[in-house]
Amino acid sequence: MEKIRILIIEDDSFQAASLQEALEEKGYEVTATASNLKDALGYFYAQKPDIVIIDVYLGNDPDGILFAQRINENPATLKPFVFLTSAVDRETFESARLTNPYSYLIKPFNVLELQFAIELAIERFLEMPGMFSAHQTGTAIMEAFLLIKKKEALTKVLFSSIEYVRVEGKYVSISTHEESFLIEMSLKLLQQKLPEKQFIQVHRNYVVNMNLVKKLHLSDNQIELLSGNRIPMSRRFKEKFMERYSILK
Amino acid sequence: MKGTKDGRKQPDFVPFHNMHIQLYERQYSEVLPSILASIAVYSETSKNDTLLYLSYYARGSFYRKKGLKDEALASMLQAEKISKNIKNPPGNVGFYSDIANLFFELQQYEDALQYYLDLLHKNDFSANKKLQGAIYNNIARCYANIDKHDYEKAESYYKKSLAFYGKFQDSLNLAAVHLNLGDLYFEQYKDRLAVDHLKKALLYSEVSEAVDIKDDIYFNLSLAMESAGQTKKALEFYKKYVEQLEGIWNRDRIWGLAEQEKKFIVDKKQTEIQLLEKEAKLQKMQLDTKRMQSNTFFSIAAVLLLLLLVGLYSYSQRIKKNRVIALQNIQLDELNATKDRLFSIIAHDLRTPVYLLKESNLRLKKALIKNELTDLEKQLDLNINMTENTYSMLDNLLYWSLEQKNGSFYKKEQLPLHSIVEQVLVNYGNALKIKDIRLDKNIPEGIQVYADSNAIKIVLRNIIDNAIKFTQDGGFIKIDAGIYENQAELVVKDNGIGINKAMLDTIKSGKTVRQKDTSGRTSTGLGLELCRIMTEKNAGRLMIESEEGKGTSVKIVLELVKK
Repeated sequence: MEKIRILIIEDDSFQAASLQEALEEKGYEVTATASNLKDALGYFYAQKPDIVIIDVYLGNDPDGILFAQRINENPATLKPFVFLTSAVDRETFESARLTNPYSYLIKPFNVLELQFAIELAIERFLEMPGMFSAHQTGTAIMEAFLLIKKKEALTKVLFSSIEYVRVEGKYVSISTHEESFLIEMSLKLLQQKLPEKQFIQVHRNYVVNMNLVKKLHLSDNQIELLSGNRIPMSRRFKEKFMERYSILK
Repeated sequence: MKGTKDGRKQPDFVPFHNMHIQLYERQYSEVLPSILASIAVYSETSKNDTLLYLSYYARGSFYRKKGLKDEALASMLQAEKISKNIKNPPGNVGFYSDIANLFFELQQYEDALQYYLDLLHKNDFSANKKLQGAIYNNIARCYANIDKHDYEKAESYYKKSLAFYGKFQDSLNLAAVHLNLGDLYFEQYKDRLAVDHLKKALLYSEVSEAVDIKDDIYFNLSLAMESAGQTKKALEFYKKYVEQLEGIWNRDRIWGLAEQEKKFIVDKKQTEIQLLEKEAKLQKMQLDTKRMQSNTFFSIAAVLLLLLLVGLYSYSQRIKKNRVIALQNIQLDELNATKDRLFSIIAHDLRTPVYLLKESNLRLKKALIKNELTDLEKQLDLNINMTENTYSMLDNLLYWSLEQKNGSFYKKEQLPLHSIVEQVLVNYGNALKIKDIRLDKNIPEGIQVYADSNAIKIVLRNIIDNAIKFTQDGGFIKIDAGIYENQAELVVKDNGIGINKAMLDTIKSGKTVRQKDTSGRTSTGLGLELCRIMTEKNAGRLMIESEEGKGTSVKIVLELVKK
């Protein structure tokens, strides 16, 4: 289980501290707090955070907007971002016409608003409007992890931490060592996104992370995982699995 | 007269008409062009033999009048040729006699004779009864003058003429014919007969006062007498002849005088005409003056009208300006009211809670120093609540002043209603706890409204704020949401103190009201005003229902996201 990593760009240290507190309370990880444009860009490219929360005004200049424009120039490294603004500055900020997805937070804000703004920024970035913000659950598949909303909090589930995936009706259950998540998605779609060599289907309803397999019980058609969990293996998929196993052997 | 109703081509009468009029009015100087025009028209474009014949006839007559006999005759003969195509050429007898006379005058006696004899054969003298006598006379003269002098026939026609004129007792013509007959006899050396007739001619000329031929008669008589050897008588007659000539000269002189008189009259007429012309000129000048006057009048009227229009325009501009000024006055009044209201809010609504907070903080500090920790948490909760209330009031003040300034910024977007309500409610946990107010909420997930999130939050905050303020301790607040008629409805209902009817009517009329809440504090009225502004900016509606003592229900209707 990984935390979502957030970079804070805020010149007011008190506000930065309370923001950090709120984020950590919600299960986010704050990678750093930058108080000027130069530091912000440095942290952004060095730490590669998942999300950036940007105060529009750094000092007396709207350097927050400048930062957004700078990171917009490189789509490959672009990340979702949330703007912090005041009611009075909102017009200035909106008229800056940022074409890329973002969300904004008007100060003062509470944790729910903060959470909502982060969800909005991510779903707009992924071009999946309403994926998180409109519901109490939601899942987005990222480059090396799944973003899952559970109990009004966003969790980052690394592919490497997934032990196995099980089909449950029209849902799939994703099990890690610590926790399992029920998400509304077809197994087929999920399989397409997961690394093909690492995740092997062993049963009509099961996909297993090969890296976390401890032992094969061929006699009773079961796979024992490192966590001790046992997964059933069907005969049809057993042959396929054995092909790989022989290679692995 | 071209192209009449039935479309049949009618002869053009205009040239002939002009010619006829001019001949009738003896405008000889202008008649020739008309005649020539007539000839051109009736021989070519609008062929009409009768009119053409008459036109040539007119030309002949005109030339004859001008003494151009050869031309006259040619024109007449042309007319005659054309007349052959016509059934009953008008004025035919006069026409033929004119031709005959022309031949006679040109001394083409044989041709003249032919025409005269033809005329005689036609025996039509209805137009001129005495013509017959003249024809007899002229036939006789022709016979007398043709190359082979036929004196017998001439004599017999003279006698016919004499007999004819005798019936009419036409002494003038009798004198002339007798003179001619006398001459005829004289030529034939029949002097006695010649003298007889000449004497008769003299006699008739005396009666008829035919002065013109008297000199000829006297001269011929003198010649005849001389030939007859009666020299004395011849001399006598010669003297008479000379006298007669002198008489004629005198007469001519008188004529000259008459001419002069005529000329004088003409001159006088000319002067009169000139006078008339001058008068006409004068009249024209007067007319010009009048026209100029009328022009001047018109110009002045135009200028006045223009002035009037300019006046009206500037008047309307002034009215417009006044209207603008009035509008500005209203705006200024509004701004003034805004300013007054801000002052009043700062002086009362804001100063009091901050003062209370200050006092409370001092008391808290004392309690902390004395280590009196009981009631500390309760006091802090109250302080937090007071701070939150004050803060939300400041917030309202901020948005309200932004609205007054130039309107705040709105950006409509897709919003999950459930989440937005939760985000607002999270701030009221403390307030609800203090007043022990139960909160029920039933907002289905999936209602997506189309609105500006900040504006909607301001509205919700104020409505929930009011619901808490105006609900007694231990009361309840219920929040419901649903989709009705393709719109999202959010209802915040409480069982608080409610609003009396008079105040509710005031609220519904759009006016600001200040009401005391359960703690006895008076609200600023800003909240409800903001709610109204913000919902309207989001194309929504705000409806308030209340019953005093039973509670209030506020309904917000919002647009749904279009799918």
